[in-house]
Amino acid sequence: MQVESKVIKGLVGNHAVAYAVKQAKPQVLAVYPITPQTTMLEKLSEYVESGELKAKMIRVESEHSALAAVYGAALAGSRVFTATASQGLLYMTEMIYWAGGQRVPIVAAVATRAIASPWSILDDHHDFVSKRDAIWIQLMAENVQEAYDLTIQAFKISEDKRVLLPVMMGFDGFILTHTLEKVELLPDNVVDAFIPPRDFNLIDFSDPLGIGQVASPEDYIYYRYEAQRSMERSREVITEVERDYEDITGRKYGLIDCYMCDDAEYIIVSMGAWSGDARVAVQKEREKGIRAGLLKVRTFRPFPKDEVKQIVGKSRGVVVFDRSVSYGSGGVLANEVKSASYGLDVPIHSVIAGLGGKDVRPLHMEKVLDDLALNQLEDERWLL
Amino acid sequence: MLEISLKGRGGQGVVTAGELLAKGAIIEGLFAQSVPFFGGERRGAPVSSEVRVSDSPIPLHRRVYNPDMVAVFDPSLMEILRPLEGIKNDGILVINSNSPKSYWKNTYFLDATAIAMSIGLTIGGWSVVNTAMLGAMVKVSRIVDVNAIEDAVKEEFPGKLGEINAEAVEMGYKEVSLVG
Repeated sequence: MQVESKVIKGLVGNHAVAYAVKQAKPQVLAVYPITPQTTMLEKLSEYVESGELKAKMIRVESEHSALAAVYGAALAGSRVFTATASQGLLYMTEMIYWAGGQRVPIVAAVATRAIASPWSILDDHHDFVSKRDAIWIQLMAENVQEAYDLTIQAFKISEDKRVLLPVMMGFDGFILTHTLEKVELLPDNVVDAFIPPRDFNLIDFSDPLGIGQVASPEDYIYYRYEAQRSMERSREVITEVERDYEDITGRKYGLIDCYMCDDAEYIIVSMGAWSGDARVAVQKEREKGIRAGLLKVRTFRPFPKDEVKQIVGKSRGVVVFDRSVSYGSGGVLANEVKSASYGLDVPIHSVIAGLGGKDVRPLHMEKVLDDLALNQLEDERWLL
Repeated sequence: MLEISLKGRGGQGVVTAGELLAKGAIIEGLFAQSVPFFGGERRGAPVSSEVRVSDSPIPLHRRVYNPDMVAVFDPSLMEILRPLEGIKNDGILVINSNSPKSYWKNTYFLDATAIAMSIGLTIGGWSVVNTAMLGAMVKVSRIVDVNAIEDAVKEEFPGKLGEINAEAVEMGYKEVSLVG
């Protein structure tokens, strides 16, 4: 049943995510400041200081320690949260793998930002996608509303016993973290009912055990096999959680979002905030008589292989917009889409754009879609 | 959809002005977005913010290239930033200036610095002109009712500070006039 008493507010992305975290009631937080995440930490600290969020905010000296702290607290039974970006996520990386390998329920927000060098504080997706093999579920938001919604969903997905995996919620640095948009907030009691307190422990304190010990080759591969199985099971759980969320909010989510895909001949694939600009480009192409559609990837891990293949298979040509590159290989999302579409006879092109905060406009996407329709698009094009 | 570009200097409250304009529109039931732009800003360095207001959801996240209104918080920025580049043909310029100089066919001016000084809106000797500029912007563009802006201002700054800023909005609203 849909909630009647919605609160509508203008919030910047960082504050919307902080609000969602407050409503999720984590007991332990550890966050180290880094642009463009810092204003989220500031807001969370205000909530803890005022008592609105009854949680322990552990002051740490680095991102590595931030994740180490919440990792321990999560093992001990607490609901936990952390957040970072860019160089901070890199510094956190050793612990990222520890948390993923141990399948500990953690929610981390990543305010996506380019990686040095050269230095940039602005947006791209290199930090986020570089964690694709760390056994974390990775969701990415298109706008401030979605960042709020996915943060709430992330706690439920992470703690589901069929899953038990850390979840990373990515949202574009500055473009969403610092942009104020209209947001519908759920009442606290509705969030309480959606994500009740975590009621299980990963350690039985009456029967202590060591965690993270050395594993024999026989055991090691077994752990990794279980991690992969858990990742596969999470598809169903994510879909279920998003369906339950839709019942409350009326907002429909899923592993992917398809806009005007039904009869689309030419598909643009994207992830994150510029998916909104891609919607506008698709509308403009339709006005010109080109049957374009948008395939937005919301769940980067697990990658929605079947859903992507189905959409690609119905089209005549695909172009994937990437804000990240696997150097010496190609656009990271493009490679995923190509892999998922194996066996199909549909050309899949790659566009690299928007690195280090470079603005990308619907008209750039229209030009690419025009060229795709005219069969004049290269395999890989950089919008320099 | 209307797009607005705000240009000022660090310390003048440009980012807050953009957010308050968007919040006022949201209070009125509209859709709005406020996008600040940061570099290595310090007090006094150029800062900009961009605002969109629409009666339908706003999917865009690109920057603003063809604003319907440009608000310049410091006239010295007219030469440094070329803020009128890309302005729509019938676009409006609102400028904080103590003289009725015409920069553009639709130039509106007000002495927002004098307004801020007169009611004590200063921080460390810098006049905080954003709320007076907001009053002027809503007067000449009519995008949002001035009462919604005052509500947003009072929510942002509780107590006495909110009242002073709401007064600045009203003064800006009354004092802005067309050059020409």
